[in-house]
Amino acid sequence: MGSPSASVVACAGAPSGEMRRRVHAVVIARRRGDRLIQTLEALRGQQLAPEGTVVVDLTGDASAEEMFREQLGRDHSVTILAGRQAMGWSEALNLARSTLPDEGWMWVLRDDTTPHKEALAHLHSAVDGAPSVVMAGPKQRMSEHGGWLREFGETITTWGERQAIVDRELDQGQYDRMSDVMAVGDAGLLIQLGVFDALGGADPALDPLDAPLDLGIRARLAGHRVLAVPAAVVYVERGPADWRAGKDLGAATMFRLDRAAWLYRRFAYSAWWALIPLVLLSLPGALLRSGWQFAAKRPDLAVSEVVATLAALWRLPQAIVAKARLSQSKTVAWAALAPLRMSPGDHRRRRQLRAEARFASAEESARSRTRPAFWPAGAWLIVGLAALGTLISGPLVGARALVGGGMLPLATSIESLWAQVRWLQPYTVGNVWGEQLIPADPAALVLALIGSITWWQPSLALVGLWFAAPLLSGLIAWWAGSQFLQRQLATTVFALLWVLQPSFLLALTEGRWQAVLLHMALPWLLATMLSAHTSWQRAAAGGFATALVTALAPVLWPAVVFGWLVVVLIAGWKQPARALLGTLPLALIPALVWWIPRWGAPGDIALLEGLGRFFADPGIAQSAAGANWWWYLLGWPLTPPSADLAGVSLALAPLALWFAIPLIALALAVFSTRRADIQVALGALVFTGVITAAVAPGIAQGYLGTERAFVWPGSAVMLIVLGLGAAAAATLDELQPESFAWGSGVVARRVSAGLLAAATVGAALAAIAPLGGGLWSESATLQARSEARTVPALVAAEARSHPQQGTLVITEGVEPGVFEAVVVRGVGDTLERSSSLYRQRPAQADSASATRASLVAAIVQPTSTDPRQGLLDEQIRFIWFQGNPESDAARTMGQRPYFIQSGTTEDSVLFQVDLDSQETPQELSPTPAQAQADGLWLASWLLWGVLALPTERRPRRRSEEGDDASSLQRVLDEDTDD
Amino acid sequence: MTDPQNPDPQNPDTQVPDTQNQDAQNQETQVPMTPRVPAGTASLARIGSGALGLLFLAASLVLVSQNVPQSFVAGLPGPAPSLEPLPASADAPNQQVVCAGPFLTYVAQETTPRGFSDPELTRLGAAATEVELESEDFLQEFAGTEGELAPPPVFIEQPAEAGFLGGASSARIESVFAWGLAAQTCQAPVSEGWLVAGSTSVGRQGVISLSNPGSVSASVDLTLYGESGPITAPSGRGILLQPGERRVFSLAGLAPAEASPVIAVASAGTPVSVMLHAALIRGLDPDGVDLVGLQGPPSTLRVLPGVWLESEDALARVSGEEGYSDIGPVLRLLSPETDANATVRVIRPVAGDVVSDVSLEAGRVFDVALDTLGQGHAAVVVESDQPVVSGIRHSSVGESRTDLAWLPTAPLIDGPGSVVIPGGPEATLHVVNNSDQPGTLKYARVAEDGEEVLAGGEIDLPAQGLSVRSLGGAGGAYLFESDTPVAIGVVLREDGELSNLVATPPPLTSPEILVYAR
Repeated sequence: MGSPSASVVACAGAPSGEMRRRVHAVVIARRRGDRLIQTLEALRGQQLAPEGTVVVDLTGDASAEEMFREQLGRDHSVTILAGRQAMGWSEALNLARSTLPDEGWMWVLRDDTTPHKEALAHLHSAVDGAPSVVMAGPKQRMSEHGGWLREFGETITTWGERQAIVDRELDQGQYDRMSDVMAVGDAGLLIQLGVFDALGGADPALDPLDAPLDLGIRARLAGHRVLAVPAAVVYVERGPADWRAGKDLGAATMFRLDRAAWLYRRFAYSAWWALIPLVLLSLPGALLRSGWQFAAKRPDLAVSEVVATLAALWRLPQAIVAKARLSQSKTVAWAALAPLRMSPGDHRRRRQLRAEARFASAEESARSRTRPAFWPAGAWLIVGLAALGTLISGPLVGARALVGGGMLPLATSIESLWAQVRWLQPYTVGNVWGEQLIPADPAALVLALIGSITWWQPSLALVGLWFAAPLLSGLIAWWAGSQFLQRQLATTVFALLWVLQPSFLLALTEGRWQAVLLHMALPWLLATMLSAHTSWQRAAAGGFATALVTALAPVLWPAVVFGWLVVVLIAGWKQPARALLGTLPLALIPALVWWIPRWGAPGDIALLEGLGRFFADPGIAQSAAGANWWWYLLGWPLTPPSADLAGVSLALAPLALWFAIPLIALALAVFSTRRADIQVALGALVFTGVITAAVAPGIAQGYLGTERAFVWPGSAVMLIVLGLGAAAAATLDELQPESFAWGSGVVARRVSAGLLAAATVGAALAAIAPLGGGLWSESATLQARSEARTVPALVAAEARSHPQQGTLVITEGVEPGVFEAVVVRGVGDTLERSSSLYRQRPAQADSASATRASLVAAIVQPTSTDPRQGLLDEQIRFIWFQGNPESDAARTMGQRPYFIQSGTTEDSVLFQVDLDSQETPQELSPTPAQAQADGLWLASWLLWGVLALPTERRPRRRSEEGDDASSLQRVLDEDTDD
Repeated sequence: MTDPQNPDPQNPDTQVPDTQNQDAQNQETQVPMTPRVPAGTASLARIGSGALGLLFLAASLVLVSQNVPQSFVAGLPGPAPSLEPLPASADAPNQQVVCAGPFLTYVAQETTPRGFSDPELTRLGAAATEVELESEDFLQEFAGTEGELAPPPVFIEQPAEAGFLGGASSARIESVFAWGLAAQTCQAPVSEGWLVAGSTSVGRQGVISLSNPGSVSASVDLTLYGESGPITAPSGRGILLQPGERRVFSLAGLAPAEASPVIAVASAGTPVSVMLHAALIRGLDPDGVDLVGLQGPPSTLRVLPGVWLESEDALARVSGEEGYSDIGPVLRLLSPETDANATVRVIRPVAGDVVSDVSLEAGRVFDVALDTLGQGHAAVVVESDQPVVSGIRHSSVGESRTDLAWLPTAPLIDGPGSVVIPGGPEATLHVVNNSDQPGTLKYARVAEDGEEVLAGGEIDLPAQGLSVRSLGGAGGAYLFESDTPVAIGVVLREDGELSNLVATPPPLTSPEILVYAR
């Protein structure tokens, strides 16, 4: 570097008074381009030409020097310094300073700060007559909105946080009398070189944000003055951090930089004795604040808070150096600066105003979309769906528990209900995997939650669920619809279509509790997915919806992940970091941590091969008859059966086809509207739904009795119906607003929308009508029980004193000489302890099953062998023979003096075994790894729970009044807007 | 960071701010749910999303209709194997046979029967143990002042692996209250059996003896049929037999004044053994006793080997006398459920077969007189279109007295079988081969342990024929091995003494069962 010495030589001969007034321009050029050229041109055009110009070239481009020379001239007054690209503002400034003479002023510009041509003149005149002024800053205006102030003057609050005195306001001359300030911004900063040296230069540790503020404060503490000069104007494109990064930084990054700089300054400014407490308290304080941010639904800021604190602590040595530097230059007490600080009241007022302004603008945009009015259609919806629920589940009136299909009673006490909600004890899964805990189905937690509603008799809650399901599902669907629809008609149609789908009706009649619950969870998931990008709260709620859906229908895992990826890709296109690092983890982590034990399990324990270990429906196995894939597309999880109505057999298949036509036509019409989100949703839902449904019947999930059972395609069919329903409703929604130019007038459109809606809902109702009576038939799968047990009363009574007693259930096969033997414990199998893993234990015969088989043979065949020892080994106190009581097997059992016949029904005989075993199995506690998984699960759910609580203030959408007057009003509104 | 959807270019407040001085945490603004993008990018976004949606739809249709995902999943490892049951079997149960014990019949006007004789027991069985049954006390025939009691009956038990088990008791009863030969093999307990024998008309008595050798109580239902149809007998319902108990009932109490009773025995709880002690008194003189065992449930083929046809002369000599009207042989038939047409074939080895058709009414017992068939050994085969039960009463006419015997339907033996013959009267073996193929029956007389062969031989069995072989009066245990299904009966006969035995196959071994015990 030869030129710096040249400029020093040039300055050396000037008289000292003159020297003090000489201004050296420093341009820190990070990027080339039009802005730089503009800046250089403006520099050249200054009324008061600077003595010399130092360009710190951070572009890393060797050809840049030529450009600077071309712009600024090739004489020795221009110095080009090559700097590293990574250099911050302070470093660059310190580097530039090293080439300048001892006396004079330094005017600091960036490549994107274009000074007005009188800027330097005004600055110089402000400092010229006031020897105590050592720093001055111009008014920063926005380069793209020249009438707006970007920033003017800086100060700190009571706690030392940086505050701009003026922050993005329309410049109406209201600050033109401002002069003394705490500090000024970096753009166009004029500083006296001697003071700069005395202060020790700019602190590179404070890049990119607080270095100029720090300079100002230190100057003030050294007894100097800092002035804001309203007459001097620079046009600034970006803030210092954005300028350094070369892009608009996100809120979280800005917050992190801000906090880190603040903490650093706290360390640097504190008294020596306060340093250690400050350091020690910084991390706890950060965690506290982090928790607050979390509660305020800003998990990104919560993370930034901690990261910033760690960064500040990392730079503690530099802070100590800065501290030493400060104590050298400091001549004035901090108290002297107090008048320049922003008062707490001002600070609070400013924050409130800002929040109000933001909320107002959010509200403004929210008002542009109407909210569907719930009344009066909601009333009819409630009445109709409540009636539907009663109609469908009527035969279950008075039931205390439901049995059949996928239903079993729940545990009889709430303690027992929750006891194995996460891990199943070995005895619950028949000790097949030895002495280790087996992860329960995640859905067991859902059952425990539902059962706890009627804590005195948990099974009752499931009966209640059966009655309430259509209504609850309908209301949830209505809420979900209101999140992406604007009109009452469309929202109501969406809710009705959602309830009136064959999969739901089949789930009710076949006792598929998981599908009934899934039916409530899916609209919630759709609504949170569609709005997940709008707030962290929605994303966290989406996490719970995802967890619920995947727990109830694990076969939807791929579909749900695919759905979130689509959401993240489309909605998060503009903010990939937020979408990928924020929304996506928020949406998936609750489900993932919930499933950790399950996914950890298949490696440890032997299971059937295949996808069933991941995708098995929770609960007990149920048979599922698949259908051709086109039936799935029409919303049917099975080939529509023929229905017997008043003795006439009615083939449903052709009818179902016709009934689906209006729905599908309406759904496809969404592509002619402008509902881009629903178009993608329809495609994605149908895509994932039909593929999952087509695949599901090929996934074996254990055995139902002696037959193989396969995953139910209905869960996936619900996805298809969700897509079709949402799309059809969106089409109806768009039929009314004027944006959809179709038809001649509002009335015509309204009538056509109503007719289409009526036709679609009517067709759906007609399609499911023959299924609706499923529970009324004599041979209904789902049976009401007056007591929550699956074993005879005697066994249940004995189970109170012998909770672990076994009941050997021997079922006579259809073919003679074939028996099925299972052992149930206590009061019988309960739903919340049924495990889809246990169901998928390998089919290979092992010694245990051989032992049991010969035990059964010794029981059902006349023999001289005494089976009692074998029974005692398994703690079997009852034998429940399911078959003809007159059969040879039953008679043979009756011929044993030690089998006490204790009850006979038409198709079963109960024998009590004259054995008394009081052996209680040992309850295992989780291993450290399992406890860690539990801890992780609970902790993350707690965090997500706090985040998902909808406590934040959301702008309300304007309600759609739904009458002509308001529609007319809207037409007028839109006209004036356009 | 903020709402990207609704930037108003005129208002920097809604622009993405440079946030040097802002509270970053408050920057987030609420955005509308539906993107309302400015006009420039709107059409592009709309077209793009519409195209994406349609692409998804098309892709799903193409993939699924081409079975792409289905075959992918099908190609993954491990379609679950179907569940295979495990074969299992248990050791065979102990064999049991219940022996008759002393012959029981009523004396004078007494309401409880008395025991006659203490029969001698001939046994077959390597590891047999004898167990006494609990019984009501019955006085012995001549109880005297000491009130001597009849000994209780016994049952014999032995493990299945010890081989054949059998027993027979025989007693020649010669008293003023009863007269005749009372011989019978010990009977395996059954859950269902039929007793086709007896009469309760004047001078005819019957004592039904029910024994429960099992280890649980049995509830026995006796259903009675008579000449005019089913007989209501409430006291025959729900007879409770404790484990190891023997109870007796008067046949007359169940079916009073019935010339042709048939009794169906059904036991719930555990199998029982039922035997009829039949006695006959003509005028004041006892004139015949017999012990009758159960026969199997109704079937369309009944084979009754062991008929003795007394000579016409002998019959003529007595039949004229008062009370001897039933001296001739009689075939008793009952189709319990439905009307049936039966063909009765009497096989006479020398004189040839006699065939006649009989129509049976449901539930009504039908006695067919087997008259004018000549003298000698014979067998009867009943073939019916509906399940029937059958029994034959025949008589032996002696010098001064006669004796009767009931022969039940014999079980068909295809393979091994056994019979134990008590010593004393002359025994004659009857073998009926009802099949269309001739066959051979190997037989062996064995010692009590069932192993040591004392004598043996072979009998050629003509198709549809009866083979008769005299065995002498020594008695003993006989084992058979047949290569064709046969019915084997034994006639014990002296002049004026007659009894019938049937050979039985060994108990069925339980078939292997299949158990789904995962």
